[in-house]
Amino acid sequence: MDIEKVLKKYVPMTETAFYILLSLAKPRHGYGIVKHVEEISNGRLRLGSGTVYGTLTKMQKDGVIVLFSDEERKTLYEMTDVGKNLLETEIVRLKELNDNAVKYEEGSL
Amino acid sequence: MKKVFQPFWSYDILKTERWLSQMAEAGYLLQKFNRMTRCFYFTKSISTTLTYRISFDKSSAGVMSSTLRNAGWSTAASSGHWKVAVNANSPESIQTSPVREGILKHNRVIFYIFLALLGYLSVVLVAGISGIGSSWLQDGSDGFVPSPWWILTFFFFALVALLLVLSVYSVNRISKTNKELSAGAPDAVPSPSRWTSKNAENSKPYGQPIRKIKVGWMYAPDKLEKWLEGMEARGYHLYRVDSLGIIFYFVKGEPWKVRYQADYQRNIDRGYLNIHEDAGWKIMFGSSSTFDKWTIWSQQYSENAEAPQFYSEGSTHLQHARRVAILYTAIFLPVLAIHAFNLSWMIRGVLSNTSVSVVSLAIYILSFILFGSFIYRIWAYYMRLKRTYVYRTN
Repeated sequence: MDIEKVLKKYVPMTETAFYILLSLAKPRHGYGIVKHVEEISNGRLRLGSGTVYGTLTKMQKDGVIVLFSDEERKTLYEMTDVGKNLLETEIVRLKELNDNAVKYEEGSL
Repeated sequence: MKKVFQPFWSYDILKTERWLSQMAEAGYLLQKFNRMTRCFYFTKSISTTLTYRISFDKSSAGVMSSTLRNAGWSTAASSGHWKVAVNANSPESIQTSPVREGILKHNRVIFYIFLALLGYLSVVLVAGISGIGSSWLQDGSDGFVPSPWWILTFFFFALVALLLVLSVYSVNRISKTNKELSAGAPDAVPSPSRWTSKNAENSKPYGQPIRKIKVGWMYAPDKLEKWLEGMEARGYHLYRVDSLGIIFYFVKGEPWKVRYQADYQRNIDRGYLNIHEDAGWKIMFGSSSTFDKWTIWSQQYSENAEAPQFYSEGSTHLQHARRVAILYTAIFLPVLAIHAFNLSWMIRGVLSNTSVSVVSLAIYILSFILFGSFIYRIWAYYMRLKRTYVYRTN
């Protein structure tokens, strides 16, 4: 799937999809994603393994991530260039949201 | 350039990989291959030690993971969805590798195509032979008229016989390879049914096991989950499900809090089993049939803890339910339509006083209701699930 189609399909990303993709800046096992997301969200988000697997399958089919196996023949997931592009696009949108949230707090909006 | 014809290279991937390495050892490096003509092309070079890994990747990415690239892997050649990766590092030092799951999935599809072809050809052959046979037995005089066109008939039967041999070989070879890939230690992709029996061995029952029969739960998986959770809460612990997913064995003990999840997947791969096991889920059942890839997962949790969630995001759970509902509708709706058509003819027959067998009419009505109920129940499940998520977010 080319990048335009991916962006159209994924942006805006759900919180779950965003955090899963963000975790895959370096290769991780399926459950490694669950643990990492729990850690960076300070325990707020505990993703169900079914939800993570379903999201990973979809992302792999769309070429957002790739998988390979490690020395123990366990599956590792990793972001592709398309995935990176998607993440960066989403971050631009999130920054805009954040900027406006900050302006609101400062009373300048 | 050296050209080698390997008609069955994709049936035994491990052997083909070894062969490619031997070719490299002999100084022949793979340049390209063609999956249609089944030919491999090599260039002569010096003897090189290379590790090859064949993969089948249907995903639109078609790119190699950057970790694999950094580990020395590169794509030597590709054709269609097939890819041959090569690594020049010493075989002992190679730790990462492309995944095999795609090949298993692809092989399974080819396997069923040949199986269907085999069934069809057997019918053609049996019908043909019995036709010739019966005309011989009846009367030799009117059966055969010598004709130059007979060559076509014989040619046709020879073709059928050839295809038959090819199908038998393919079905045999592919099932052997998939078993090797599934069972052989380093490249194993565990089958869920084997994992289930492994689990059952670990939890041998104490006391008298209690047997319960549950049929057709895949049309209302949420009800099965509730039933199993209720059984656990009353102290009946599930320890085994028979291979067809009909008989549930329990053993009596203390009341437990256990969360159950019945899950459907089109394909069950290693990553699927690993992520749930790592997340604390125990596989209680895995179906081995082609169309019903169901697994039942359980996780015990403590009295004051929150129940573990298999699906933490409602949309992914609903997506799963919708996929199941569409699958069963696609299977049973045509059957239902055929029944409706036949029934309408029968009823017309009854109305016009033509004799219609009461038994066959009853069977048709009953099976019509049965197939209809499958479709109704699966969509009722989807609607129930949808309501719970709407309720939860409000």
